[in-house]
Amino acid sequence: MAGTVTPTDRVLIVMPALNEAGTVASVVAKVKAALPGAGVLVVDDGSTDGTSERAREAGADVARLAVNLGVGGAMRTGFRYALRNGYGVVVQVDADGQHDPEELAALLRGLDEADIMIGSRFAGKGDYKAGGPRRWAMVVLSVVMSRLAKTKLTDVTSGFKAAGPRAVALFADNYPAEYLGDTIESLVLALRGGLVVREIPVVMLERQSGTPSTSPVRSAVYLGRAGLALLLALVRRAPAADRSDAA
Amino acid sequence: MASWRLLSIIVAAMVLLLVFEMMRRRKLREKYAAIWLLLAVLVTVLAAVPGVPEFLTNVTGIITPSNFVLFLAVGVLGLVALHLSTEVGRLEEEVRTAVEEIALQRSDLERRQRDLEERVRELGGVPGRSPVDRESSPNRAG
Repeated sequence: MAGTVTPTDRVLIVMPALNEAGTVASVVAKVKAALPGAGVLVVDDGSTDGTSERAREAGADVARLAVNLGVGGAMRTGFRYALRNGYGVVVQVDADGQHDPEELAALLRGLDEADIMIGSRFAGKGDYKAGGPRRWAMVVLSVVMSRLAKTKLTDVTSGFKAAGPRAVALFADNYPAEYLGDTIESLVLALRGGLVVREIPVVMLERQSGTPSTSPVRSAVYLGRAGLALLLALVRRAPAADRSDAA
Repeated sequence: MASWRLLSIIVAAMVLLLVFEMMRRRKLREKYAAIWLLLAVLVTVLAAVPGVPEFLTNVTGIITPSNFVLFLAVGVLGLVALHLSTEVGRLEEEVRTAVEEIALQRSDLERRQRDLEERVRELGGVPGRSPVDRESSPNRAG
C-alpha cells in the first residue's frame, strides 16, 4: 500500500499564488533553502500584481493561469506538471508565508507510511486558533474525515500537504476545481481510491499578507458550503465513471 | 376557431421559423435546436388539434386547460434551464483544462528558452541578442 516513496523520488513544491507579489519571493527563497534539491513551481492563479515576475526572479518555475481558477485549478496544474516532469512527490505550500518551510522535512518523512500527509494546525503544536462557526465546521469535518480515513485528522482544510506518487497520479487527472475541492473533496477522493492519509502537527506562521476571514456571516456561509462540499464529495460517483459519460 | 388557438399556432410557427433560420445561419447548434423544434411542434399540436388540451387536462385532473398549458410550460422551461446549467458546467471544465494546459505549455517554453540561453552562453554566444529571445521575451504579464 503506502510506503511507495523512494529517496530518488524528486520533490516538487507547488505554490498556488494569487496576488502575492509581496511575499512570494521570500517564501520561494526559504523553501529553496530548506529543501535544496526540490523543484519549486509557483502557479500564478491569474494575479494582476507581478507575482509571476517576483517568483521567476526568486528562481522558481512559473505556470501562469490566464484565468483565475482557484486553488483546485492551480493544484491540478501542479500535479500535471509533476507527472510530466518526473516528480514523484508534490508538496503544497501557500505563497502567503503562513507555512513554515522548516516543517517540510517532517512532512516528507511521513510519506514513508502514507500517500498524503497533512500539516495540521490543531494537532498540538503551535497556538493557531479559529473561533465561532468556522471552528464548528472544522470540528464536524474533522470528525467525519477521521472516520473515513480511519485515523485522527484534526485539520482537513489545511493547505499544507504532501502527496506521494500514487496521490500525484490520481490528482493529476481528477483534482476537484470546486469550492473547498482542494481540501475536502480531494481527501475524500483519495480515501475512496484506497490511499492512506495521515497528519503531523505543524506550527502556522503569521501570514505575511492578507487577513483571514472572520466575520460571523462569512463563517456561517463557510459552514454551509463546507457541509455541502462534504456531502457532494461523499455521494458523487467516482470520477473515472463520470468522464466516460460526459461526452 | 378560438382566437387563442390562432395565436398559439402563429407563435409556434414563428418559433419554428426562427429556430430554422438560426440553424441555417449556424447560430444554433443542432443539439440545442432539437429541443426548441420539439417544443414548437408540441405547441402547434396543442393549439391546432382541438381535443388535446382538454383531454390532457381531464387526465391530469387539472381544472382549466390554460392552467395545464402553463404548468407544462413551466416544467419544460425548468428542464431547459437545468440542461443549460449542465452545459455551462461542462464548458467550465473544458475552459479549466485548456487554461491549465496553456499555463503548463508556457512554463515549459520558458524553461526551454532558459536552457537554450544558458547553452548559448556556454558556447560563447551572446544570448540576449538571439532573434528567438528578442521575439518571445516581451513581458507576458497581462
